[in-house]
Amino acid sequence: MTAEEEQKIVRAAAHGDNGAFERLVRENQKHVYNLALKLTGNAEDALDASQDAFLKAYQNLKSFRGDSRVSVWLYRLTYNACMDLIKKSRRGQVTRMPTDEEGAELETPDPGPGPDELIERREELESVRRALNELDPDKRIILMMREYRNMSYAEISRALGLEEGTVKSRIARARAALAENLKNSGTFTFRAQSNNQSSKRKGGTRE
Amino acid sequence: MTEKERLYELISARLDGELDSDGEAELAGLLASDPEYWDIFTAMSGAREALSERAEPPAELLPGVMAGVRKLGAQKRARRRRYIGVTASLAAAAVLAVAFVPKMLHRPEAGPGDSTGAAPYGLEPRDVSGPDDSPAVCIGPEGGTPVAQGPTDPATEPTTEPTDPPTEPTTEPTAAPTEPATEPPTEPTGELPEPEDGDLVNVSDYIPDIYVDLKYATDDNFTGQVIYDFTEARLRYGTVKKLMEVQAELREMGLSLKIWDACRPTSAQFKLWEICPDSRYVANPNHSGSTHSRGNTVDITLVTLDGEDIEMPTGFDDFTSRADRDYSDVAETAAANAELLEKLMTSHGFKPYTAEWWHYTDTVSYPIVEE
Repeated sequence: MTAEEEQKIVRAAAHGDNGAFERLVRENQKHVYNLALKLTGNAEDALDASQDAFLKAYQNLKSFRGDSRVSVWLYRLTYNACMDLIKKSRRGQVTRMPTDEEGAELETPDPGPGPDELIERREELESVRRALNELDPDKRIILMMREYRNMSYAEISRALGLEEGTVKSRIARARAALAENLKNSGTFTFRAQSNNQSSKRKGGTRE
Repeated sequence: MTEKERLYELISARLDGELDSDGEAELAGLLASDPEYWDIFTAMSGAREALSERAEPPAELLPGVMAGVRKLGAQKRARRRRYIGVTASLAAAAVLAVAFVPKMLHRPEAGPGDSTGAAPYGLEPRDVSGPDDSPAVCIGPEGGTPVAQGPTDPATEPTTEPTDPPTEPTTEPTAAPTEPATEPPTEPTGELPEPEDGDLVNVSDYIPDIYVDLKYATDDNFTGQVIYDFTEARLRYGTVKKLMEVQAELREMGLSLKIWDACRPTSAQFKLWEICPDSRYVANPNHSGSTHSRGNTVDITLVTLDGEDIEMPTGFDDFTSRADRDYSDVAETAAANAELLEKLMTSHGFKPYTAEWWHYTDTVSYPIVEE
């Protein structure tokens, strides 16, 4: 869908055309759901957050100015929806917490990401996007085909007119370049450390 | 190849699930030899995870969102009605003070027994299930949820809507813009002289609860430009009489017609042709032109009595094959709704156009309208 088509659909939806809004949901649901899944880490919350994000979008259609694509706007709404959901479920968890401290330490299930961790995950995702944009176009394109579009080596080889072996090595080089960019900015190295810290916290600290 | 390059290859192959046991062993050896390699491994895996969108959204996501949308829409309408109730009462008081005489609506075939609201245009009341031979289908906005609500008082909708805030003008009925809620459309105090079948009339004058959203009066059409400067749907009176019958049947099912385009004078057709001179999309006015210019053709869809869209094969002016009358490539509910519309329109004297599910022409033809 072009940006222009998207604008028309948003305008129609803002004027009460639910069919147009449904089309926006269809076009973006995979993107929104996958983002929510990465942020919340579980399918149930991801579904709730995705639905909340779309409903928030519906309520604010008239304020969407079209300065960016709908997907970018939805990205922000999805992140906010995940954050709200996590804050809410954390609050709920405090009230349900067992009084027996020892039992609680052993039996409290993994509470999932907290708000801090969510911010961290979002920063990671944004770092990856930035690092991706810094790549040469040929590396970026082949990587998007593989990672984002989930195309097989054979499909990419047909699309780009390259031997499969070449596709394979170019993907490896593109991944390496992206990883170098990320490593230099400390993105995933930082996550590995912080995950260790949070797993140490797990069970001991519950808000 | 350097050791690092080999590392990249091994990690990449592993991420794609293509590493055999020898490769795994080689990778493990490299990772153990240098902590920096672990960082590379983490970054490559993390980046892949961050970029991929492999998970399919659950099937309940879309219906859940659309159910929420309808709920929000209903709440919004309820709020608006409360507001309208207040202003309508005030208006009614003012109107009584000056001995307001309701606008006279001519309603052909209006019989003495039609003031109940069940059959406002002289048609016999029907069973709430609709025409006996109508498809037994899901016509609801939500897959599988019928919206038929039984006999509805047609007086409520058109008379409560006109005071709506002007922010959403295109989705509301354009009928009776000045009448307050006190006017009972079922009991006019007099009648306008009945037009001739060939007269061009404003559809809303004769079908007050029809919805009109002329797409070419706005830039919300495939050209992105405003094509004509009027917002009233005009058609030949003979064609309007047929639409009245369709609307009466739909009303019994809790549905209504919504007009997207009606009479399109030749001047408007020329403007359309100027913007898009491609006969695949626009009828060439230099040749036979569009049947819309004869005032007997209408682009029409179905909505609920509240004006809410129900699922139809496509939006207006969709140029894909999904817009044609082979409904096998669209969702079941959309197909059923389009079939319902087609059945009613054809049984009341309209001819469907194969390439567009929304386009119907009166079987009676009329001359071209120039202006």
